[in-house]
Amino acid sequence: MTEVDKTSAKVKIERIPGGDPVTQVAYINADRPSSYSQWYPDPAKEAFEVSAEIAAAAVDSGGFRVTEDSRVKLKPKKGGE
Amino acid sequence: MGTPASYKWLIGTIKAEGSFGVAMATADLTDWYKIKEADFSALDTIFESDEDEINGFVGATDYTVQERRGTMARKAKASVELITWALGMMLGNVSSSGATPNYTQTIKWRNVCAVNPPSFSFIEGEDCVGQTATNWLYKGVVINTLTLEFNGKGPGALTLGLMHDGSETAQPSVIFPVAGAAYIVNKLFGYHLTVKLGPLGTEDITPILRSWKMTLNSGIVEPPSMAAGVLVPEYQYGPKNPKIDIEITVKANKAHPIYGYYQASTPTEVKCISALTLTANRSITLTQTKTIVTATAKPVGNEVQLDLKVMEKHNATDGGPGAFVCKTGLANLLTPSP
Repeated sequence: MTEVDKTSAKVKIERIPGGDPVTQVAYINADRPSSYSQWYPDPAKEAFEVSAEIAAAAVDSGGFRVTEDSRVKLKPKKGGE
Repeated sequence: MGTPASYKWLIGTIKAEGSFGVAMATADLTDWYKIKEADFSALDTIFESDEDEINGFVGATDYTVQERRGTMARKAKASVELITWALGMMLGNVSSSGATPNYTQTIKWRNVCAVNPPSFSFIEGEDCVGQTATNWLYKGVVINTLTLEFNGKGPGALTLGLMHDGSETAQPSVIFPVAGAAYIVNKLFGYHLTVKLGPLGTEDITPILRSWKMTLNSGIVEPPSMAAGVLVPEYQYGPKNPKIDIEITVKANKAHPIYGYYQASTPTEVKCISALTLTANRSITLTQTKTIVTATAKPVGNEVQLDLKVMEKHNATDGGPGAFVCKTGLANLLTPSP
């Protein structure tokens, strides 16, 4: 799991080249935390600006990485999980 | 009159309710999956009566509807599409990737913070002339149990236990697909199943398989509610649910290594991979990276068999007791409707 700086409003992420493009990511939405919400990234787009919750789930999916200027907003969770 | 054989039901394979109990758009409910029995949705009504009061008579004199909810079953021949839809609808934690026509859904266990399963709506009815009054929409539907079973080479049996919010909404204008226009599925047979079970996860036990059964249970509970109206406002996963049970029967006796895994003073941790594969792009694979297996010997005809039970064990690799990878033609699942 990736821990997210919840104070960050938006995080820029981009697709990791190679492999099949991710078309769906489930995440826990802070506005509706009791169930999963779904994010459907446009397969034709490479870069996205998304909420911190989506960014964390997208990175965990293995199909995305945080772009350089947003990297400070995502940090490894303590304990190395 | 309609007939059981005219029974049809419609779901939206890639759609789900955006909010529990808010009906999906009927335009999204177009997928008719063949099922084996006309299991009409049952409406369960809890009545409050004055039978427990001294009312001057022997029995009750009035009844008030206190609450409504509903249940139904769906029994179908196993297919990649219906199983994938049901897994996504039960667990909610879905990642999809790929491009037309081949996609991959990775479906994992719910996060401990997730309380509510996804929900969906569906329409059922008897598709006969003059029977539009049998067409009803059900909403707030969750999947409580999923059972998938293979015995020998035959088609797999998929059974779903569903619960709805207790409402029934007439849909007289719905048009069901004509006969022959059922949703196109890839059916799964016993000979599509391979199972690897052992410390390495490469030990193929497919040649000695006799039967394989998976049971998923969300342990759905309806918390006490004082929300307005008589319908169910929320279904929740039961505590420590969903749970998974895998029961396998193999042609083997106590000399088989699997019995040794179980018999060891410290039972051997094993990896179990159950794969249903039609083609490279249409398959369902369940991986249980770290688990414990029990084994019981029994006589069947002229052979000795071991009944195996793969015990549920959370592991970090799978993010739960197991993870499903489904290769389908579905770009994604659980798109909110409307």
